[in-house]
Amino acid sequence: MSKKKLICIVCPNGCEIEIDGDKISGYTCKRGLDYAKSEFLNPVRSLSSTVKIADSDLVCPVKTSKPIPKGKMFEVIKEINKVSIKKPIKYHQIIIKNVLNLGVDIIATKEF
Amino acid sequence: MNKKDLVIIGGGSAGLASAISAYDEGVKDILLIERNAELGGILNQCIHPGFGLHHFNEELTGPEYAHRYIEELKRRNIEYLLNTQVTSISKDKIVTFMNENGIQKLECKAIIFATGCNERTRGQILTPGYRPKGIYTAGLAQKYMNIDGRLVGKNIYILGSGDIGLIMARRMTLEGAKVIGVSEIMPYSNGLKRNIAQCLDDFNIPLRLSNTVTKIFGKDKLEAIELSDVDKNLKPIPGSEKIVKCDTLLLSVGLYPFNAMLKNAGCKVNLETKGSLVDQNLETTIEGIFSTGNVLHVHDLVDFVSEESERAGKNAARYILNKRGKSLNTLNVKHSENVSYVLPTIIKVYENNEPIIFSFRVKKPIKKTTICIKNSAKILLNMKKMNLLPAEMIKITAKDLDLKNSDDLVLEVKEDE
Repeated sequence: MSKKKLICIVCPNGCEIEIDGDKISGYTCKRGLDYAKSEFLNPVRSLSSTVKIADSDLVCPVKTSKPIPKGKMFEVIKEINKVSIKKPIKYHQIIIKNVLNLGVDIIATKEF
Repeated sequence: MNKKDLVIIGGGSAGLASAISAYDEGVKDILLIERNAELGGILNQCIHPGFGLHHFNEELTGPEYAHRYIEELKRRNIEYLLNTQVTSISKDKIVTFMNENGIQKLECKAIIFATGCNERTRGQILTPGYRPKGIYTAGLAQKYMNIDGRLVGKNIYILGSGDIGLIMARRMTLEGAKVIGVSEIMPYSNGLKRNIAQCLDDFNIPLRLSNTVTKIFGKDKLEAIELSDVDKNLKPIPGSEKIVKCDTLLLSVGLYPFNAMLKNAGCKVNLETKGSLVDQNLETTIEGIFSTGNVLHVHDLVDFVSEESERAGKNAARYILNKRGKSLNTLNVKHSENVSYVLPTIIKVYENNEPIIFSFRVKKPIKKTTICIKNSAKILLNMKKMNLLPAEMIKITAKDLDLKNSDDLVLEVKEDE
């Protein structure tokens, strides 16, 4: 395995982590270590966007219930943009169940 | 005139946290005033995750962070007004506001001012050229995108590497726009490192450091911009110009406290932060008027706004309930040359002093430092810290400082080898 440097995105501290073979250094918490491992093997990202609300000028913010593979972000956004929902919308209501069979739901982050 | 114990101006993260904490400290006669149609402030348009790691120990989006506070406010039945604009406050603590019921006045025992900050605009950075449409501040574009569902352009350039600009680079890319690049006039980024990684690097969006926009082309609609490298005095270098075609320019060039109303009331201004001068209890130079959150100084993390505002709420309540005793000594806090500001600038010493929380920023990145707080007689606190950046506010909690006979304090950041 080769050397790789990354900036940890788990929290705003932004630790600089170095991966050299199976040696990982520079992280300052367990979440950082987990992030480095995942970033090397299967990078994932949390995704947030908005969906249309029928009969409203406003849009409803949504997010993935869990991080999704980094390479799937654009495809998931496409799915989100197909949807239009009706009021009332509950906090953390599921908007799309198991999007693209990723085992992740799209949920509302606000109530309307 | 109608009376209230406590009026809080602004229903964003700062106002919500201070209302809840004042209530919990024992003041029940509270009115929170919000000018928008909903509570939550700017959190509502910050739909990305990254909030709450300090405060709730989990990662939330802006609307979720706001939701938690709004639920707490409602659980306590704290009174609030929406669609209501405060027009002035006076030094004898009379708040004038207007809404669909007309203009009203309220006399109160204490006021907490929590109105947040404004974005710097094109006028404030003096970009030459025409004034076509297609130039937005990053936060305004974010509001259009995340509240109104409208993407402001297709080929976008971003000036300034502030966090809102970086977040918008990712958001607009995901929604199908082409973000051509980001220019930052300073030799280092002004955003959080993780936002460079997850908003620019993830999408191969180039960041040009020591580079800025020197011309705007397009009479009615933005057509192109001219970029130039800058020297170490931030002056454009002739010959380095490059023309970039784009239909939208986003400005992410900084925020400043929305402090005019406090200034007009007579609260002294801190020239370094552009907010008010406050003591460690977040009290301005007018007794009973408090200031907290981004109207006091611009924060990078909402978690820190909440923490500060909880202190403001608690201290305002203690003031109203006459619980804080007599101040024994007042002293000023100064800082070394490499620090851009420190808060508080005033410390009032009481019989039982709570820990004092100092917030400050450095002027340029420093790798290794020793931070100390001292008076003319001795060093009161000494600590080592790594990787200080201007973009990241630093907070230190100082417990048990013996300040009864102290003279002015100095916060000193020493650069270590």
